[in-house]
Amino acid sequence: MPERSLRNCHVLIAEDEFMVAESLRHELEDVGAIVVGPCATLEQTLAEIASEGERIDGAVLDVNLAEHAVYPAADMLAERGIPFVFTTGYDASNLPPRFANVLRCEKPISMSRVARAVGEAMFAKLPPGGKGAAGSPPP
Amino acid sequence: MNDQQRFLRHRKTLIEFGELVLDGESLQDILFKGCQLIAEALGGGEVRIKKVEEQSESIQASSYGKIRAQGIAERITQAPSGAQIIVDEAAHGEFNEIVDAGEPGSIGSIRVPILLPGRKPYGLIEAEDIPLSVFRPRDMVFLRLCALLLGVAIDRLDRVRDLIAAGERFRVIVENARDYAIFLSDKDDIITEWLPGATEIFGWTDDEIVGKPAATLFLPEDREKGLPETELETARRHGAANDKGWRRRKDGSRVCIDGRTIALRKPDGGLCGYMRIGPDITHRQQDEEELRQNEERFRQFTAASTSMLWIRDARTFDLEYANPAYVGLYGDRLDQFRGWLRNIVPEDRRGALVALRRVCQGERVTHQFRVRRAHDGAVRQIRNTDFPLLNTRRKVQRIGGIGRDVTDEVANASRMQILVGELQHRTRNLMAVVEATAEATLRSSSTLDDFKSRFRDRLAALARVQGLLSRLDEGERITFDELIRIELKGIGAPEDDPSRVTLRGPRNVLLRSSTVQTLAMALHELATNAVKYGALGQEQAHLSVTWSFEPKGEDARPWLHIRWDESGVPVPTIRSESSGGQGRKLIEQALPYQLGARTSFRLGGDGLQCTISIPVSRRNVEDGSDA
Repeated sequence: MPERSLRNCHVLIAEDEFMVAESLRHELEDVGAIVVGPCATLEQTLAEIASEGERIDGAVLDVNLAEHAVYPAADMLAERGIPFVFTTGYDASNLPPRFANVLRCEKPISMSRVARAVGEAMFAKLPPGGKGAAGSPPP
Repeated sequence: MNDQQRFLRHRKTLIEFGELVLDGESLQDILFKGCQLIAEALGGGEVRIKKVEEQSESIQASSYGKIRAQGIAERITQAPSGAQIIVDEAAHGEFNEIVDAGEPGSIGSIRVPILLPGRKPYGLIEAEDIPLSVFRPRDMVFLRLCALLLGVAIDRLDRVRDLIAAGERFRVIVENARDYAIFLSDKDDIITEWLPGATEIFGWTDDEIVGKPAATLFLPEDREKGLPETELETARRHGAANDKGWRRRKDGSRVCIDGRTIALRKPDGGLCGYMRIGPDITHRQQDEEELRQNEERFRQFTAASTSMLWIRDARTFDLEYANPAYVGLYGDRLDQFRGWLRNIVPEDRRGALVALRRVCQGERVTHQFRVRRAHDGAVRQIRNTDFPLLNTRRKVQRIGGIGRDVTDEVANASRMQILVGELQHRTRNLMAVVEATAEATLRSSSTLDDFKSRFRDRLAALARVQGLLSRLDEGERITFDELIRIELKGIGAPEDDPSRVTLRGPRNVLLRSSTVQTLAMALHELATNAVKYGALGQEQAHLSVTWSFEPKGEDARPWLHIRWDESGVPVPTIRSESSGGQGRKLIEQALPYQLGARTSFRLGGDGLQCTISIPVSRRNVEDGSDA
């Protein structure tokens, strides 16, 4: 699959682990993306989507943010048709069924692969107002 | 022969007759000789004695043809004391004419009834071809005396014969009653009669035991207790006594007799001895004992079982058996099936019923349902295995079941599932942190050796934190003083030397487990930098870590305030951006980002001054900890 360019795309990061968030930020910035966040809590994430929603092109969401599930933020993105991927330490079986088609990067995962995955999710052919999800698994 | 002579002869005959009656041993002899004597006394003719055979309704006679018994008996009873003289007009003519005296030369028959005591007719003396011309009323008296004597003699012999027959029957019965010990003893309870059944059961022959006290048969311990005397006393007072129990056989082994002791009394009421009779019930007793032990074993087993064991009627579903564990769950009002059903929470009733019906079809079913426990109303998860119990015709007669309270098990299983999920989550996150740490270290490393040593240190610090975190499963919390000591010790700092390191602050300030890893990594960076460039690397320098606890700080949460002061570092070693930068970044960015901490980081002339304030566990307040 040809790599899509994330140059100048706004990518939201929701990740409570600082080190991981930093790595992800570096990786995305390395490919020219503009990072929104990163956000360590669900509250921050929701606030960021609410204020920056217009500009956000894609998102990387840690499923578990400081003991809270990130799903409300995911639902909010889906409503706006913004594609996103999950990063998670959990099994797929733990995800609610409505996110079954969301691309999921299980930890630990190479940050560059997450960056690539969010690119794929963003450039996938999406139905209008789609769930912002890509059915294909990460390469 | 004149009248006088006849009279004398009659008298002599009567005496002989009387002796015959007294001495006669056999009925046949008496009857035969009787006929002979009568014929002689009558001076001719033929004399027979006929017996009424009631069964055949005919008269047993030797030479005459059949005469209807009823007719004869009727006649006899109609004229019990009267004799009949029947004139035999033709050779076999009519017998019904009675005459007082016959014509000279006429021949007749005389019949005299023989009556037994109580006037019960026995038969008759029949004399035929008697010359009636010489027959006198005196002859009739003679015949009637003969008939009386015969009646008495026949009665005596009948009685003797009956007695002998009864005795014989009795002998046959008792000698063949081998399963019954029967023996007699005298009034001193010395054995006098010992029947074969007793030999069979006790082992002694009658030669060996007769003459010995019946108490010989008792067990020594029963003799000591006076059991034989008690038994005799009861028998004397009430006529009989039950004496069921263990007795001693000849070879010393024990035998169980379900016996009765009967006091034997003379007609005047005086005691003449005892009879004992009873069957050997040793086997029955052993079977009963085995049965009892089986039941006892079953009872102990089911009583000790924490599983609920029960049996229901397959038709009515009514409870036939329930063990204490069952009663403990469902309560003791167990009579009705509906009662059981009511204990089950409504949503699960249908399932429980369906399961029971399937068992009635012969299936074995394991099912789970919730029950409201009788004594406290707690809802418990029950897992039942129900199985059909078949009768001899292979039909389901009962339903048996084993139920187990799996509430805790189910809770444990789901908690275990959560723990496994948590562990996986934590592990994957840790791997992500390791990777991010590697990338961050790589980014700031000048050489591979530089990377190697710093990455190794950071991994070691992470490993120490994991060691601490693994205890959280045991419900513990990590305290700050513990964390700082472990970190300083881990990098080899002289944390025990007060001239080099001061640690001061309340003990037991509990940290939130989610904060431990990041805080530990920040402390690790501070400490390693202090070793390389700061207070821990120089002899004259000093590190002071002080902390205080604020029960109600910002956001009404408990806070921990930490001060990290390095002093006596005269010429602060140049901290390259590449190495000291990581610590600074963690303090200034990671802690606020991840833990909501307030931090400051200042490199003064005397060394590093750093403050970290973080929210800590609410348990510090709620538990009334001494922190």
